[in-house]
Amino acid sequence: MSLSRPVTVWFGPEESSLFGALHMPAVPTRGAVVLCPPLGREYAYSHSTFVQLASQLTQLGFAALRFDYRSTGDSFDRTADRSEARGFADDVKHAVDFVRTTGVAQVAVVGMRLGANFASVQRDTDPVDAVVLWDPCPTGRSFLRGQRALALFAGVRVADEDAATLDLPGFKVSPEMAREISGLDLLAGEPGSVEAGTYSNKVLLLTRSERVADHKLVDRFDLPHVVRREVKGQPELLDVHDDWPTVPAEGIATVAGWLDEVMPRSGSEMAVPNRSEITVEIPSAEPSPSAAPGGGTMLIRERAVWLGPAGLFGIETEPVLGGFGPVCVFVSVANEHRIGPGRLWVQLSRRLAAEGFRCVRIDVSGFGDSPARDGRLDQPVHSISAIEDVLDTTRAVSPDDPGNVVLFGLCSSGYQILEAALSLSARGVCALNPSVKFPPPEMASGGPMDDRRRFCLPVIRPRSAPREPRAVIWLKRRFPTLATKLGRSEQMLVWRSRSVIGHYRNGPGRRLEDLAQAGTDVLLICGPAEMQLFSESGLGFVRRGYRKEHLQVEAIPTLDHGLFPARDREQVADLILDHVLGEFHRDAEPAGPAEREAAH
Amino acid sequence: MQITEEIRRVLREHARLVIDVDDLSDDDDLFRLGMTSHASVSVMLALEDAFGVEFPEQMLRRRTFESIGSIRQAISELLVTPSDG
Repeated sequence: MSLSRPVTVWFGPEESSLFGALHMPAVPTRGAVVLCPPLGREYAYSHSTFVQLASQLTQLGFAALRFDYRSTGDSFDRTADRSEARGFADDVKHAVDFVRTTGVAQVAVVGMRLGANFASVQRDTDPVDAVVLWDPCPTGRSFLRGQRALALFAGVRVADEDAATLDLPGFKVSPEMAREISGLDLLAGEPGSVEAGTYSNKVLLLTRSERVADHKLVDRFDLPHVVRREVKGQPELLDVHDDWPTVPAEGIATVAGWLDEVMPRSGSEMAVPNRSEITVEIPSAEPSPSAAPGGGTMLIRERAVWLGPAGLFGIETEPVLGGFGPVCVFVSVANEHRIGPGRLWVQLSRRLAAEGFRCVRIDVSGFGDSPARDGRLDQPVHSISAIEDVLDTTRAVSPDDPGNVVLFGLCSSGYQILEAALSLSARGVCALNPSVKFPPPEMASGGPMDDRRRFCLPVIRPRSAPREPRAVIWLKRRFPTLATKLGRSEQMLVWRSRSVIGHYRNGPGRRLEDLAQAGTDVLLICGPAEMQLFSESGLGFVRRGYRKEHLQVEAIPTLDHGLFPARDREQVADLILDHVLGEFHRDAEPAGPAEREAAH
Repeated sequence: MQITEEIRRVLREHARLVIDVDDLSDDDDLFRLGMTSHASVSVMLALEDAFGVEFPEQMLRRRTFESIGSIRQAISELLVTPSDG
């Protein structure tokens, strides 16, 4: 299935706009569907599902608006000076109001998990034509406690609960957000009472069969205008910890099919307002000649970009009056989209843009809003194409000198940027917990490791065992236990020898030293497990604050791999800002391509 | 005894174990018997509903929910000493 390329828009309050991606049909529009995402880790897990649902809806003649609530995703933050008791619910209203400005006659709303709860509490507003409540949370309080407990059960060092904020994995909840969420209760009131479904006279409630609390929801929504169905695939999408989320094809088909059934078929033209870029004023550390009048603030501009031959999706953030120094490129992490861990890439982009840097955060191919290079939607995270994506991005954002970039990545993208930096002779690289030990996809079928991998410590896991000789088959039948042991030993010998060769050739610690010696400014921030790999493979003994020319290593004993605790993200942000502003600030004389080439 | 029976009922409905809950001893490790982190959160929320208690932060650890015995101990403590909140 090919995915439709959306029109990106900013809408809602001027001072803190919401980001939206509007997928348009090729034919006159039957109506617009507003897609309300979940929050926290569930938001990250469900992003691809919403992209695929939006794409499927366009094929049925609908326009589909994906959007991020303020203070989430690519949207701007809520303003601190305004108390908002219904901030998330208001954002759903902003999204519905926006699609109504395009002239569509019919509007539907689809919300998943807390997104469904926010959609269900719309009051004092014009009803919409249809609503889908997809796996809603019975109560907001149970969601908050459940997310918090999940983090603690998994050993994530979230901050202690206090009155100021609630630290959920990858999502810091402010007191007013917590109050709003805690107040959501779909189980309140008598079963079958009409309060639950006043936003529309056509409601589809999708619940899980395996969750007992959902049985109460089904009773609660025993109303003539509510269609109730069980939906599969939600545990595989959302209840994942060590596994990747799986897009629920059946759930998407159920939602799209029901909307196709209940929404009128007559089409109308849409007029989408041109809001594809936004200019905002944000605080800057120092007044500068290009700062906004008044000093201490900077006007920055944000817009969507499609980069390189693969058409990679990115968001560019830059000072309105022009940027200085290298371009900062933030690369999406694993199978998630471009916002970085807990929105770290969004916050750093805006902060660095306020200091004069041009920044781009991208989705690697096959993830987020970037198309897959070969049409595959199940792209392996460690695919070699992700390294090509980083290189293509640098050529697109800095065509005269692709090396004039600072690359940022975490985990898989921490690895990808190291490989790209070595190829490019990049100005700088900030690698957070880079994942350097993994099974390269090209080796799974028995092939050699790609020559472009120089930081990788290969782990070999063949998908299928080789065809066994007749003698082994005879042995297995005659002496099953012994033959199995022998067979395993032989295979292990082959795999281990390949693995050892890979380790010898690819010591990532040694490669890191090479990178720094070649003139690339390297900041490596690691927890203990990642640090050990670098130490054992050539970097030697390192400790917190290890520095030599062009190389700064910050080994943090308590750092979480995915930066789920808010304090880890804050600590890392401080280190990055200090480093980048110190090394690459606009006042510094940038090295030209010839100088860096000479250093090599 | 009633506490244990109620815990078994909650486990039967929410824990998604690979064996019958009636066959569990007090010390069997529920996580080893197939209870995932997400299922343990469902168990936690259901126990709070069933007993009218709220597990404080310091009890939100895997070991609190790793066996019928550890759950019973936690519930007993909470029933004797109601939380401030």
